[in-house]
Amino acid sequence: MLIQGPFRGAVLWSRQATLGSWLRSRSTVQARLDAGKVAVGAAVAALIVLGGMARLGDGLWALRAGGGGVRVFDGIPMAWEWIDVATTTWLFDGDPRWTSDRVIIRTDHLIRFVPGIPIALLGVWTGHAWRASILATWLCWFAAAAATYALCRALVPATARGHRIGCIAAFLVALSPGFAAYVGNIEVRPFAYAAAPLALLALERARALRPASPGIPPGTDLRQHPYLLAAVLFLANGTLELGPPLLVMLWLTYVLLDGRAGSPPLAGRVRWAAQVTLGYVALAAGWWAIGHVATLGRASVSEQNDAWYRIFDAMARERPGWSALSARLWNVQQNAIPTFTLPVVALLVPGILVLPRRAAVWAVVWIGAIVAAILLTRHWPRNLYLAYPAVYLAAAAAIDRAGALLATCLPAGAPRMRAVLLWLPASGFLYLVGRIALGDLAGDLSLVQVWWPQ
Amino acid sequence: MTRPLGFRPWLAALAAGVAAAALAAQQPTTSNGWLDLAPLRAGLGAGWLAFVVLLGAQGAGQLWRAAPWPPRSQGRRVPAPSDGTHCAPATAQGLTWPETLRRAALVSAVTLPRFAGDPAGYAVASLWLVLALACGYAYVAPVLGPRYRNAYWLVAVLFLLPWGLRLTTVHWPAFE
Repeated sequence: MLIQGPFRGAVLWSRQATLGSWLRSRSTVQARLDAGKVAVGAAVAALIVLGGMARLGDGLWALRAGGGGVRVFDGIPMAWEWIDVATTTWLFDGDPRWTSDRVIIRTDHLIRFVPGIPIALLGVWTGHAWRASILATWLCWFAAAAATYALCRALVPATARGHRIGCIAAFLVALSPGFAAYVGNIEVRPFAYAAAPLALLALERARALRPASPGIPPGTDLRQHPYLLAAVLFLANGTLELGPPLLVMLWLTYVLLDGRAGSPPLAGRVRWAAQVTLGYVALAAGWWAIGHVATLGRASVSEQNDAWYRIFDAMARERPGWSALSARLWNVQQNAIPTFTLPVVALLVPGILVLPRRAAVWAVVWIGAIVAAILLTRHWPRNLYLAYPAVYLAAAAAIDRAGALLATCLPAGAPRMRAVLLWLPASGFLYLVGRIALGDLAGDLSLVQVWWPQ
Repeated sequence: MTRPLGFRPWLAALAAGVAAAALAAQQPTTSNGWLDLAPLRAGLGAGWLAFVVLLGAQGAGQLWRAAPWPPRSQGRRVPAPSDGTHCAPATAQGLTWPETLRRAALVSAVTLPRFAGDPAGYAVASLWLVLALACGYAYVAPVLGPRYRNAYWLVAVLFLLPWGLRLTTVHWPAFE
């Protein structure tokens, strides 16, 4: 039968008839992974949407914490800082409100420009900035879960193990206190929490696609192009000053510590990373100039939120010494438990020990870069949470190893029971994390009060 | 869309920017600062606008030449290469980075009506849109595959168009 074009695909699909037969037609392992991915994706999406809906209105963390930063705007309770995102949205929109004397444009509005863009564009479709923000937060939340899953798959080479670790990490993102803390507000953080794993995934993809042999011409795949990566880093920086930690990650993990067999020589890696860095710096400098010209020089330095101002100010005020460093490290350690929940923090170190060497180095470097940024700027849980892709990877690896050890206790020949044992510790672990992270819905406000301090 | 555009759009943009800045500098200023940025802002807007318009004109011209309609003589057709690939490398192997940026700039031009009175505002929006669209294409195109990857640009146009044409108003909370 000679059937060409799109009809051929339709005929083939009708022959396979059902999703089940389509899955059976593929290899068993791949079919299981595909079915598992669909099921986990649906469960994660349901958790995100339901968890998000429960935190709107009276369930808003900022409102339940009882702080003074929340007002009711047009019947909607929200943290007053929505005006910061509105300022960037209005500038992006060409809305004359940004020229009002009552709207103050600061350098942090120019740096954190990205969150205003989806709110402007989705706002046209939803008709309301608040609804656009909720939709954008859900999309960011789901993108963060998907990117964290993909990162785990990329960093843990064993297919089935990487899939299990990725699923556990995706569920941890769905139970995330970080997203839960800000859903229902018009805020920049959800965008930053999505940008972190997405940018890290872009770096990881570029490494995987980087030609190991000098015979392969560069630029055959856009995703390893240095200027594309520069743009990705610049966009990520446009959410919450993520550029410097990502550059640290680039140089340490993908240049200095990337000694895999068949990888390009050090000089080639340095040239590639230098192009990424130069592209990033050019974009940042270009935007700085365009932003200041477009706002006619009205953007004043933000003493609170401009990271570079805070770093230079802190250096000028306080000579960096061991006491200051240890005090800030103590704050980080104190904030870690409410930021990630106790079960996750408890499994961090064991997880790093059981991860493959490269994944462990990757996780340590990212956590180190975020902690260093916090030591130089501010040590709130909301900033520490940016380390979550690495923290969740390690915790998921530890609990997965526990399941694997449990499964080895069974004699061979009981695959169903083995699968149950493999997932048993992870199920208990996710239940524990869920009880803590969803505690606010049952009246426990301990996390709420740490994330929205008075 | 695959031929290099050369330096003419850049030169034209520079000329338009300088001319607009010079005109703006003739206007009385209310600035009491050490530097009046209004001429620079006018130059930025006019320069970027000229660049995008020329880019659009060149892109439209190339599309016109490449289009199968109106029917032309057989002699104009480019013979298929002997290695079995199609005769349009950008379609068969995906866009290069400069081509992706160029196409993203063209797609961002659908938002021009929004900034009819303030081209500098368009420069701000366009910078971010071009980068976001280009990065999105780089990661979405491999998923869509060679047959459907061009649909990305169509979806982007449809998504941006209501915003560009100010079809609806976005409600913000009262600023009190």
